[in-house]
Amino acid sequence: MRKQAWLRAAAGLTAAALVLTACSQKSNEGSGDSDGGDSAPSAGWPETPDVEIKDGKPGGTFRFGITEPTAIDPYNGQESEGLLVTKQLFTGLVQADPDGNIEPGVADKWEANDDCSQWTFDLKTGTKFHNGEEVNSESFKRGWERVSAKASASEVAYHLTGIEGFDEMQAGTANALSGVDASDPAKLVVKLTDPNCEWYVRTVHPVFSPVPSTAGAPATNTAYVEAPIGNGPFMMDGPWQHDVGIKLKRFEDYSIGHKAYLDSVEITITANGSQDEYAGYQNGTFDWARMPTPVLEQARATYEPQNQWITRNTNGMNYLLVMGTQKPLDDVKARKALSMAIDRDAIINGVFKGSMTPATAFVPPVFPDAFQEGLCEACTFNLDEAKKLAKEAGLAEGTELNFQFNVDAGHEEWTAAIKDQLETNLGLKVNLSGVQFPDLLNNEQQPGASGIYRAAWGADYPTPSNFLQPLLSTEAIGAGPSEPTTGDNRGRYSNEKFDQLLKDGFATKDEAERIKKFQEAEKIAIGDDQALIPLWYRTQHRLANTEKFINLRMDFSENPDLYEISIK
Amino acid sequence: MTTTPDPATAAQAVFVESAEHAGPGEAPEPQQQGKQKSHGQFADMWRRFRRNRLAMAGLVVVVILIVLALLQPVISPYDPYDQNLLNTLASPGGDHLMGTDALGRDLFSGLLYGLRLALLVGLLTMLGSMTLGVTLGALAGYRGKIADGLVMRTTDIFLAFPFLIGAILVVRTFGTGVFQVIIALVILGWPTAARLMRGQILALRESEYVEAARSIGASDWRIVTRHILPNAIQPVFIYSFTSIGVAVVAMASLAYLGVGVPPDTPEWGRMINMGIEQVQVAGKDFLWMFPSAAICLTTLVFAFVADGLRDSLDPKLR
Repeated sequence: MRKQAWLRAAAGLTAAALVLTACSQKSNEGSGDSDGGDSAPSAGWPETPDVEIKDGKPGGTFRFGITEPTAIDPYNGQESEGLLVTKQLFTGLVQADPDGNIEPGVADKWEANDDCSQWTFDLKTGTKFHNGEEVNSESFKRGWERVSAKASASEVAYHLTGIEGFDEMQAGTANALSGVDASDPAKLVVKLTDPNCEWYVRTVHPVFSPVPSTAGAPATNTAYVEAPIGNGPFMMDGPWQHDVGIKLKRFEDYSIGHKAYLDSVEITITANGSQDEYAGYQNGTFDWARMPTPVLEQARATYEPQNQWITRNTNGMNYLLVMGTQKPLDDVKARKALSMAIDRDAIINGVFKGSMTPATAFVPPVFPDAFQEGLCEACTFNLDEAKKLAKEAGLAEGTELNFQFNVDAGHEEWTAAIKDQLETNLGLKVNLSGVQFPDLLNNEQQPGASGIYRAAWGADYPTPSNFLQPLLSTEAIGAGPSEPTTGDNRGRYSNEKFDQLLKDGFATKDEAERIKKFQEAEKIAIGDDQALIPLWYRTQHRLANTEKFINLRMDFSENPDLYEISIK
Repeated sequence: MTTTPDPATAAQAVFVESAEHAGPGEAPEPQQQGKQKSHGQFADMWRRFRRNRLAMAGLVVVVILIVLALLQPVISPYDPYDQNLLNTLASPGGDHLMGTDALGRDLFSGLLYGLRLALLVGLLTMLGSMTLGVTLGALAGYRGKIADGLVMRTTDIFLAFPFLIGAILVVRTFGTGVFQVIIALVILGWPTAARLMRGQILALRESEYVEAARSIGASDWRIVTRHILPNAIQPVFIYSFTSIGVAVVAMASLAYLGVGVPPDTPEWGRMINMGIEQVQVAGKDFLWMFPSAAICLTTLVFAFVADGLRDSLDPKLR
């Protein structure tokens, strides 16, 4: 679902580019065998070292740019730009650290019952909203009901699916979440209709934020929507100036952790996204910036020696959506042939100048416990095998293949490179077409859609299952074979064994065991069935003003970790 | 492999035809001079045209461009579609006269291929909108009444569309491709030609020589094609010639916006778009400069020639 978010963020290009991950700075030497000893440099830039977080001191204003958010009120926070702001204004039950590890928020303890159908969160007492009101279990219940109410028309309410009473609220037949018990102010009890042993991870999402009693309904209290009063380390300094900027200042009564160090945060809303941010960083008006893909190489050469460069593998994946129920890709051999005929290293080096890391699995390395390097054997360039499989699958010379991407988001070049490789290596006739993003999404939902589509995914919650369940489970197709899909499983992949493993995983309490189930499921969908074609992980690059500030790092959502940043 | 849009042969036909229109002066001069008396009108025109230096210079460049476009398959140093991911964004010089793009494709070869596309689209658009415009304009002007109302209201509708928006609509309806672009440009280009034509016909319809023809029983068809058209077509022709440059720019604009030709086509607008992505990178300005210069040059020389044509055809300037 963060797909759209990325697109907005990219606002021009680039960000859209993508992903990658961690630890594995392996160089896939796979391209060697095709070019006869032509040893291309290995793809991917290494992550910059982790920043050691030190105690800061109060003071300073931190400045950077974002594009116009959709919403900064948690009830409808849905894309990177808005969520950046929301996360400063609100602290939820639990929080994710930059590596995706779960840490306490307002809750300092949480546990599930035996079958994971009920979760109990013990809340810290005495923490406050920006207006002085105390945060208790009722604040959370109020916030969640505000999201669930039909009248709110929240576009992110689906995150609360599975809470007892949610469906009734969405239907408009109830005005309270029957499954949420807030009778004890220091205890929040949540009943689920679908047992889920990792459900608490979901509450990382700002849509699960508490709201004060003054929040009211989004439709009637627009003042709150424009300047939300939360319980986070920063508070609004005046309302959101649309298309201009948002100002935040330190919340002095924050007691969930230490107080924020920065006096204030000045967020400028730019028209051209990363282009403007890069220009702003260069002329000193910003302390943090994203960059358009083409300038990465040059910017890195300038700023990395000055220690102002951050590279991180983040929570996302770039891949080709495969219409595996339609010819010509309804044969697993055809899908593997396609995947093997793509020389990812060559594209990354040639088009991205090395700034991406080729993918060999679908769950990215940012989840070190779940990451299975090399799981996707067909992700390694192998011309002979690709030709052999193509032949067996009936992909003949001149077979037509539909390939769509969205225009104006920096995808023109690499998609053309993939087209060229598929045509040269397999003799296919690739019909590459660029369409607007909404058209792309609409086209890939249609029952007759065939071929491959450019796609990227960022997980909403820091758990590997969020890469598998929404994109590959049968229930996520959400439609019959002759109807447009409604879920995110647009390739209509359906495998009972895979579905069962996911279900077993969600019902497994032990985390290690649970992840094992998810790994097995990924092995079936990607390793065996090649339901999607992974391309490169999401790797993000940032410029950060280390001359004036310390503790500069990217959080799990790729934003500056404003809470820890301090002047020198 | 990637296919060249097949209109190559069609293009040649067009080029020949347009050469006739634009430059009867291809013939050696002495011969031209000798024929002057027997061949009154054209020779006269050519004489006046030659006196216009800018127009002559334009004509020379137009001829060169047409020759380059025709010879593109032969003189292109590389296949414009050939990618080389090991040599992307190479600066001009060395093996690549104008450098390479983000996919390692030779920019000069792409530019030549783009020239072919631009001329093809420009000339076919001109021919198409002129044919359509003249036919419907003549019909409206000569027949009047219902035909006139119908055609003129239709032109009103088409002229009401902002050009680019209209073209985007049409291309989105018909799909992606060079011929779809041509169709779009023709659809949006003919109304002006039709209006010009109609105005001319209205003026000439009542003239004495037409009345004379009518009085000896000439058919409508004969009157229009033999008596009125030759006298009425000049302004339309000049307008259409001017529109070649407009069509070239329009196609590039569409491609720049990601509409029209397939995304990996070496087309000038697309090349500029890809170049703009690199605009913040030092030393990569050549990516958009070369195709931009090509568009400027092409539209400029066609404008010069059209200008010269007008001057040489306008009886008032004789």
